Amino acid sequence: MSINRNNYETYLIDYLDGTLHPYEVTEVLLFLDQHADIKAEFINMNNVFLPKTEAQFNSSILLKSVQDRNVHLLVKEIESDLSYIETTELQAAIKQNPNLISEQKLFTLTIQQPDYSLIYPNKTELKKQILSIFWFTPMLRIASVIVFLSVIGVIYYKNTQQHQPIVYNNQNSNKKTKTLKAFEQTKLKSNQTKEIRTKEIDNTKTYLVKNKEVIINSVIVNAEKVPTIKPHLINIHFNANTYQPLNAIILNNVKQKELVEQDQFEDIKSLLARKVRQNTNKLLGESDTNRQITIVGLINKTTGVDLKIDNDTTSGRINHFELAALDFFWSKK
Amino acid sequence: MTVNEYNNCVNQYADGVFRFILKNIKDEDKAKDIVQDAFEKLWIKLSDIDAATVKSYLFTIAYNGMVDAFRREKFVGDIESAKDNNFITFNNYNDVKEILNEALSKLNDIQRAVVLLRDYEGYNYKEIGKITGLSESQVKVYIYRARVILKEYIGNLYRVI
Repeated sequence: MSINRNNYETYLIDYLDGTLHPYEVTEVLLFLDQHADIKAEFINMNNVFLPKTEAQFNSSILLKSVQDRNVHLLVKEIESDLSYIETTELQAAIKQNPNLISEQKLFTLTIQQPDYSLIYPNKTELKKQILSIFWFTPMLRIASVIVFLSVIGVIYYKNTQQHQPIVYNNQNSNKKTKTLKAFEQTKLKSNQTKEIRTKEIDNTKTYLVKNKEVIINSVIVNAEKVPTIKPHLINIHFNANTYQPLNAIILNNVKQKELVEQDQFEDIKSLLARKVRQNTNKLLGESDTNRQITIVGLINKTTGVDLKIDNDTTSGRINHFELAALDFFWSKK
Repeated sequence: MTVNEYNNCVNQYADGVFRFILKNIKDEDKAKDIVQDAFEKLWIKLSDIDAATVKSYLFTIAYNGMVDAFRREKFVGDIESAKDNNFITFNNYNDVKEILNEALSKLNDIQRAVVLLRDYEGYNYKEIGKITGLSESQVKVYIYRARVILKEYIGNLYRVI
């Protein structure tokens, strides 16, 4: 680097300290001649000296080493820091003093070589792993997306089922659920009067199946979708022999009762279905026998037919109940 | 930096940082702890650190960790005591490598660290300055002095042998 207005201070101080190389001294003197203002500044600075002290620097050997130009060059050489001029200078010094060759070799030995046998014992403990779908192979990615969507679909389907029961109209099929078949077989064996009723159920060929437990007539299903009247059903009368619904008493508003005749029964059936479902849902969740009796009574009063229930002897909970009135049949386990 | 890049860093630099620290601190467990800490800090700052500067970052963190360890355990390097020991220690050295290892222990902490960064990792003065918090010229001076001490030690030992 050549001396200029930006770096002259360093050169001047080195000049005063006597550490400059002869060719650098020449450069400094030339620079001072070219810049009168700096020369004046330098003369002033040259006159300023601190008083001498008695303090001594203990590491004098070290200081000597620093001041040794040859050592300086040898260090610079192994640091690959030598300029072209310095290289020439070092070569000349070695020519003059062959002892420097051994010094040069010793300096070369000071370069540390990494010991590659030293390795960090367990790199895996330093590593981090985040389970990411992007780490999967393409096939795994596709498979995981399919599984994910399937799970979401099933959850959505189940939720829909819970809030808005899907009705299966088996009008064109004679297939029945196992629950229904078992139920019917049990009834056939147990009770002669129920046998007639069960046959009638077979002939209707229309059932609603929900979670393989609820079976309901398709006529009621349709009524569920289009409730044309919303009166409160008080009672419904059936023919004692044929189980044909005859009429029903409904409450159109708070006070006015109305008799509904047979030709209006489609709407009555829808009401009936809703009532039964509401009350029997309460019934299923109830373990208190007295409360069960109350609810059964309410259902009986509402529908005009007897609701038969089968209680668990130990828990008191209802195992099974049955309500049948001609083409209306409802059962739950 | 991504997680993958971080894990690559572990593969690439863990050994280097470990060697550097172990050579300085001479305690494998402590060296492991310091390396682990350095990588933990890297992991925490993962999003802020560029992959290009991660090596320097690791060495800086490890160096600072090492200095803290020195302070905690009062491993105070003393150049004068090192100098006193230079000429009286004599072991049965099998090769230059062992002599060098012994010589290295005669340096003070900063000298040893800068020489190792220079020789092991090939960092330039400026980079070493960044890692150790020294100026470029201070780094030069420390390296210069370290070389002289090492040369003196090796030279004296050779003469004895």
